Amino acid sequence: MRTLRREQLYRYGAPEPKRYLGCALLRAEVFRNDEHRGYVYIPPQYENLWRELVYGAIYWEKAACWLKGKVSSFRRPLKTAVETLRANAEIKHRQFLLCRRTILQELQLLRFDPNDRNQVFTFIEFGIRFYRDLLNDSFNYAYATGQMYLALDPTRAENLPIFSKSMSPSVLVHAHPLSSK
Amino acid sequence: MLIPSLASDYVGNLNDMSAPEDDDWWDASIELEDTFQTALDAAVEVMTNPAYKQSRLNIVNPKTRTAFGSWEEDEPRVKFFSRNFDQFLQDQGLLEKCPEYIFV
Repeated sequence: MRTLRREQLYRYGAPEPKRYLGCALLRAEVFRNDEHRGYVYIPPQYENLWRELVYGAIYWEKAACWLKGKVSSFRRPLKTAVETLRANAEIKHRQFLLCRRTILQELQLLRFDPNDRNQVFTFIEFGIRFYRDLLNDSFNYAYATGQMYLALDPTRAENLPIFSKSMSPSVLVHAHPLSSK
Repeated sequence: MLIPSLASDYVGNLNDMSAPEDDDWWDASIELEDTFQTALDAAVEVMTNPAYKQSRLNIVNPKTRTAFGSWEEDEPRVKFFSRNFDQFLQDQGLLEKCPEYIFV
């Protein structure tokens, strides 16, 4: 978990539009221990997912910390319930850090092409899982419970209400599938 | 189950963890205590509700076999960033023109 500890030290600024390598991208400032360390470039279609990714890490870090402080104020059996919630929050925090690190690794490998959508498939998978509340489930479970959603583009606002609906093929009539371009 | 997933009628609180529309939170200075308190109250109520005694949401003390106790989330191994999703997209014909790096 050494890498994750390092990951916790990083913060990201609000993304701003920027041209880079001929592409219209978003640029987010990177801080480590509150010191400027550089920038990360993000294809603009991932702006909302980037916000959720960074916010999720902040949210669950704070939740785990807050719940840790609450445990001692309860007596058993409620104390056990709060301890469980704290452990779950820490796991969720770790998941977001892992997601963020994995996505950043793919972003660093991205060869920005002005004629391409610059797809980041770990970002897409994160988006599908985030909107379907599947962040904690295996791929097999995600596939078994909603194969149709795995092919939907989570970067399109029109698809977001569909992700939150119960599984019904009829709702997919208005869905926008993923495309390779 | 994680906090937002404790019960189907609790999923609405997922909205509380969506990123705010403003940009005041990027430095992590956002105050969330009220949100956490609401979530905690609701979660504890669900976890200790006798109605969930027979469900997977129930927590059972292994020593006393009472309604509460050790109920741990499985340690996530976060395997979902694997080749499975890439394979799925490939099977769907969605990766035809994508660069090789996604398989690295």
